[in-house]
Amino acid sequence: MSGGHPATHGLSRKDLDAFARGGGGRDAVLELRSAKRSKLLVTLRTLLDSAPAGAGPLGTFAAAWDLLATAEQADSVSVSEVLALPAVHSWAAQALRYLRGSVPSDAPLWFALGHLNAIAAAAAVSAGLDFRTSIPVFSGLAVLPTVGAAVVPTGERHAVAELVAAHGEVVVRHGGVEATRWLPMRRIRVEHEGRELVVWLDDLSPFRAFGDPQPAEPLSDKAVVDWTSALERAWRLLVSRHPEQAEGLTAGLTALVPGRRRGRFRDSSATSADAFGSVELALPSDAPRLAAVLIHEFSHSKLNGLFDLVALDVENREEIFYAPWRDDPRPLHGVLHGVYSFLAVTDFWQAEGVDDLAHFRFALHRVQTMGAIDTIERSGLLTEVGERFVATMRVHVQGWQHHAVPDRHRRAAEQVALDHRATWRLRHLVPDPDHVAAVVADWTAGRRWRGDLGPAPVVRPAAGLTEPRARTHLIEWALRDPESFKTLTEEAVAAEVPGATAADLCLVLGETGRAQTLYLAQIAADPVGFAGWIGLGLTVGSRCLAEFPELVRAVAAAVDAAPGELVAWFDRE
Amino acid sequence: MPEPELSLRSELIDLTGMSLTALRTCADPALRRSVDNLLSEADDPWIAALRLQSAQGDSGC
Repeated sequence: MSGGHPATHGLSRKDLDAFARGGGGRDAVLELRSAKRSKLLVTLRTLLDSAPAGAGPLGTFAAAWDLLATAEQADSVSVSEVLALPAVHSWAAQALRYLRGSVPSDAPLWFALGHLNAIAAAAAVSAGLDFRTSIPVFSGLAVLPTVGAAVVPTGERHAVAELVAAHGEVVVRHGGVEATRWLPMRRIRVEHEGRELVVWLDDLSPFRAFGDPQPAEPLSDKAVVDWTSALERAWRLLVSRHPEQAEGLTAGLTALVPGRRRGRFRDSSATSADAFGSVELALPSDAPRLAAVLIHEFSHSKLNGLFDLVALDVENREEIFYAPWRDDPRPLHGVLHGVYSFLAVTDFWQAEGVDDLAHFRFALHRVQTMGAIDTIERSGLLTEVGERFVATMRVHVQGWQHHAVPDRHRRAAEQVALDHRATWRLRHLVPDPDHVAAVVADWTAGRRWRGDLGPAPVVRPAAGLTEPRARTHLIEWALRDPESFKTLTEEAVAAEVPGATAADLCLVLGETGRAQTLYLAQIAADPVGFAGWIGLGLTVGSRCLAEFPELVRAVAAAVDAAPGELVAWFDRE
Repeated sequence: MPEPELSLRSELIDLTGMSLTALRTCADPALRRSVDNLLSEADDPWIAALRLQSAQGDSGC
């Protein structure tokens, strides 16, 4: 504050440039955290001004505020600690949406707003106050953020318990029965070469997983040990080989939220703009992958922090684009997020280039990130600051161009990138019908393909996502564990890799003749399916199926031609 | 001329150092602007979806 009037948060261009290069040191990250704290306080004040005046089962929002303010007067550090928990930020943002009616909720409003009682009680307990209050119970647990949870088996999804704190003792009662079991909220500390990372392992907070409240899923003691040792290994790697990322993580990463793995071949992790410094994730299988996930997700947090301070893109709710890491079309804002995260992850795999998988991932992310920067630059949807930010990213990624990658990994990466892009086109792009008719007329009349792509196809997002990355998963498997991959058979491939076919296995194994035969059979059985057409294109090295498969398939549907013959006609340009 | 250190200034009020007791009665116009901005964000389901949208590891962003 200056002159008695609060200032507003800001950012130096130097820090903006550092963030754009994937970095941003301790001070810059702390500035983002400080802005997030201010935003939380603005949210709390907004809730205070807008909350119903009448007291619900948990009393009024104002009474909870008073308890929190009293705790702050006694011990401001305790209050700051509780308010720094990302799940508190998630709660505040979601409670305001519930209150304003902009998102539906299955939780009663008194419960959503009454979570401030739990926050205030946690701060007051930590500050050592003697007090009495009501706190919410959710699915059998009364959670005090950062402190822990009392087990309160009410049998109801939403209930109320009484908390009494006196002389350092805390008692939680429901229906006159005292809770006797307490689950601690755990905090993990890891250290390497004098650099420390301290994070909550938040398996309790109702709002830890973004959006609607989720019941707690307390980890076993063994699972906590597993998380701790995994984080120790990843932290050693980060500090010793990626010190700039480690510095940012130390300043900004505050919570890990254990989540469930969604599939054998995909890492599962998430962040939310509401919860700076929180990463929801299933524990990856090794230290490099955990380190990469932390870098990836924390990059999203940093960009979300930046978006609170500066606008990089012009809001546009109509236009959607290809993002190389997504199976669905994305608004430009989402493409920016992807580029930014993969910029840091690509740097990571470049430095980690010690094994087949690292070489492959670097090469893949390099080609995808550079392609997505092209998309962003062509969009015309950047602000002046956004143009500066993306231009700085562009300069940074150009430094990757001369980094040597073994040929087989580069070729594999280029094939996977091409496969994904072509598959996306086939699933989501609809060619102009008049142009399709003109091409059909040329084919029918025995004329040559003119090489005219016609008007730009329309983006029409396909409903119902299937697994479109089976070939990618096969390639990664072959790189990660070539011995077990050798045992994979055509009969077993579909069961081992969802969406994969015998043709895909043959393609990855280099048995192109058999792959071609099998892909043609796939197309005959399912002429509109994407897997057969793109697989055929990869097998024969087709340009048309790489660049405009949606037109090839549309023409194939209208003429009586063998797919191989038609593809050859297009490619003969 | 060198660029000012904080040359990209947002409208978000900096509440560093303000107590909860003071915040409760704060009537600064900068707070009003921040509240208005927050409400326009909170009232918009499209923005809510964008903010809440999971950004997921290998699956995409």
